[in-house]
Amino acid sequence: MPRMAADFHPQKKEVPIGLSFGRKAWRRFCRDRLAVAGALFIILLISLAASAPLIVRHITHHPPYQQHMMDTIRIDGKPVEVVDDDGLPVGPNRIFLLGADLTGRDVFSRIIYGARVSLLVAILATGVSLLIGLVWGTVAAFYGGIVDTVLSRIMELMMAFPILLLAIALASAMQSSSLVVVILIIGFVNWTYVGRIVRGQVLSLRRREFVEAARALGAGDGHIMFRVILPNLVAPLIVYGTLAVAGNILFETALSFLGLGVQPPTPSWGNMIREGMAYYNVTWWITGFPGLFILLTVLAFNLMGDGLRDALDPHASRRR
Amino acid sequence: MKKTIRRAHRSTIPALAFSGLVFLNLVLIGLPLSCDPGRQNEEALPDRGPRRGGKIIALSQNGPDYLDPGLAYLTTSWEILPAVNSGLLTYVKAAGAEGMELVPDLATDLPEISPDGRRYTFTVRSGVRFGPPLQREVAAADLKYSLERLFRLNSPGVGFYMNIAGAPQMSRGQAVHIEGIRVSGDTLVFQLQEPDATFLNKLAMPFAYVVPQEVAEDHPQDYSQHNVATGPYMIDRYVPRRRIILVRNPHYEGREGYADTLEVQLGGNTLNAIAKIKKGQADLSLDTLPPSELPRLKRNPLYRERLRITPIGTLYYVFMNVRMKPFDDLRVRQAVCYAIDKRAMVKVWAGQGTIANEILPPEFPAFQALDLYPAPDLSRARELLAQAGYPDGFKVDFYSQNVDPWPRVCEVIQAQLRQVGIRTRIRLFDYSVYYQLIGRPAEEVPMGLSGWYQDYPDPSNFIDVLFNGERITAVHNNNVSHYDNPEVNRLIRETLKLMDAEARDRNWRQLDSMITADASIVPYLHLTNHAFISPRLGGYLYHPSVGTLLTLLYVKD
Repeated sequence: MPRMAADFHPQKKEVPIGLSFGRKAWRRFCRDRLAVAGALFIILLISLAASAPLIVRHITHHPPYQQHMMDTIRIDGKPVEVVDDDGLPVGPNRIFLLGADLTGRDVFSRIIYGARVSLLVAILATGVSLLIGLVWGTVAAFYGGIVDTVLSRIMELMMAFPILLLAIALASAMQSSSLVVVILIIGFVNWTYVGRIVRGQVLSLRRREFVEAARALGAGDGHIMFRVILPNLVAPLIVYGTLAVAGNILFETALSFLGLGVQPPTPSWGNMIREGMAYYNVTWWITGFPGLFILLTVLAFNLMGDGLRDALDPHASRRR
Repeated sequence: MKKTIRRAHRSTIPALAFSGLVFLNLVLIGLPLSCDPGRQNEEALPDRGPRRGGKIIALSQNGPDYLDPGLAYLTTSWEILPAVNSGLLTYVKAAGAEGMELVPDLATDLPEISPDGRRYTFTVRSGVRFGPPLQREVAAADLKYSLERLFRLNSPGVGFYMNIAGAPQMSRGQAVHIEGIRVSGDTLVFQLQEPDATFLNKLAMPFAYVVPQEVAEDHPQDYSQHNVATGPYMIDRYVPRRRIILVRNPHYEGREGYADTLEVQLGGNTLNAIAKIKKGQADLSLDTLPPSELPRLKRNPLYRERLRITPIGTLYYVFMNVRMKPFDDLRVRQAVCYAIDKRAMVKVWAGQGTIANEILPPEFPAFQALDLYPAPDLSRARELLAQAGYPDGFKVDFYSQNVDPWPRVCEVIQAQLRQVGIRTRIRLFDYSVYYQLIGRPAEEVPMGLSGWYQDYPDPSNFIDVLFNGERITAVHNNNVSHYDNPEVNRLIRETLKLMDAEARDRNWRQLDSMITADASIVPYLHLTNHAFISPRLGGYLYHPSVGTLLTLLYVKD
């Protein structure tokens, strides 16, 4: 049976103290309307992506891989070829809500399935870079001295590479580009930024009293690093992670656009834009709608990240 | 062996990424991207027939590989060289079937052929002078030298002349001259090992154009920069990747060559070539029209009348490697034939061409329309797969080059084959490596796309080159399905020796149906050439083997 805090600390109910840090942060976040809008959009997008099969079954009726090269639909009673003899697909209409692409696939179905891929890649890649950066930065800062010098120089060496070129080189060297490979590549080229942030934070934390206290109690290095110091890094990492997801969505788009990311026919927003590129001024909906979704998603993550940063900043309450 | 010259829009990758993002922003902000320039001078001028004078600007993304007739082997090079150089024979300068006829050029007449079909006797025309800086006349010995030079250069054209007596010895380095080419005065005699009805076509290829020995030997490495003209134009300047400027050859005495100057601007890409022609900054492009532009040009009445559509003998097809499982089983190959809906693929090519159910293109007299595997017939395909022991289909890698619309053709085929359980993994390669890759049997490419433009207008250039099992080579292999049917090989060998045109065509027809029935390839498209030209350009013709006939172009007044 869980112990009820109130049973053991009845005074907490009575002594009026300020709101907890979490509650205060939540209040600050809710006051930031743009951040809330961003968060709502992200929730909407995630639910769209999660319910993609349902949407396809009940709303679009066209699975994302199904081509309609030779099919004819009726719009306002007139028969219209989904892809005409010049190879041009139909634009947005009641049957293809956001139009069809060059092989007669439903753009809307592909966008929501593409959202699955793009979000999955961006979020997991962020996870990968957070993980590498966290361990690397913590170890470097905690041990200091020669360890710090070596690890930091390696980090700086990696930062000196143009990351898009590095990713292109890795993707070409890998031969296969499955989803996992793309996630690892994007995670790998971005971890240094996390490493830097973490190292800075840990440098300032490791001389603090509570760390000394833990050491005095006989805690080992591992315990201090990951049980004592790490919880203090959660706030900056959440903020960085949110912003990084936005960057990684763009990164995945760029890689797929170059043909090095997620491979067709798997829909991803970058793939869709590449496929419709040559036709952008004839059939704008093939590139325009995925572009719009990229824009809104990146914007939403950035707004939410900004809001989180302000909300989780312990000094924020004093300033406002 | 001339491959489809459809290249990627090259640019550096970061620039591409950057421009991609910039483009994305533009689309999102909703800036009007496609604003055509002013509409002045867009209506085609009245055509009063050929006129001398003026300057014509042509565009080419990749330009020629060489301007040395002995080495050049790209479609663009083969369009430029006939304006500058000449050989014993040439094609009638016309489009379609009319252009397939051979006429004498440096020879006085078509050759005298011995009854056994092995000896060809030419008389070289007198009074034809080399262009500047030379002052002398072209002699029979120059033509002999030019062919022998191919062997010294290790030219890609060597294979076409291996049938001349003594050529194999020359190629092995056992002789310094080709014994089968004899010169006495102005007569030139070719002695062949076997009769060959396409020998004259081979002599009309740029490989056999005349090259003066004294200049070629002074510039063994860069004859492209010192090309001596015998045609209407000479090369005034050739800056690789920038421009080629052709001016009149003062020693030329024929009537062709209407424009005073022909400039070929190199670089850019096929999309901005169209934009330049629209703006009036260029007259034509030597590259193929990008399929994405075609619908817009067709829909605009002003542009539509400036489109030139010419049937050319081409074949686009899906190949299956019959040496590899599961394509060693005829039933599997037939199933693929039944599963592929070719109408969809012609749509992907923006409707440029006609559905191919046979190998030979409709421009050939030997053409016959076949329909051995009426598709799509998915239940028949599934049935055949089940009979072959693949009731659930199989997995296979599908190869292609990466230039639009090839990847889309792959995706359409992928979706079609998926319906009968064949799961393909698409593997895309750059144009520059693709044909080398599928041309190496050791790579074991199981399945993919290929395309063929004729070198010379004869069925042998398709059937012998692409399907003769005895021609499978370790590199530069053109028989990419590794099709090797002894009966077909034997019939090809016999047909090549026939000199009677009708008997030959009868055999080619039979071979076409035999090979198509064996289903080592799925033919799907005979592409037609589409070109977009400026309103002031007259005389545009596209020859099936040579391409754009530059010497016939003129500026309307």
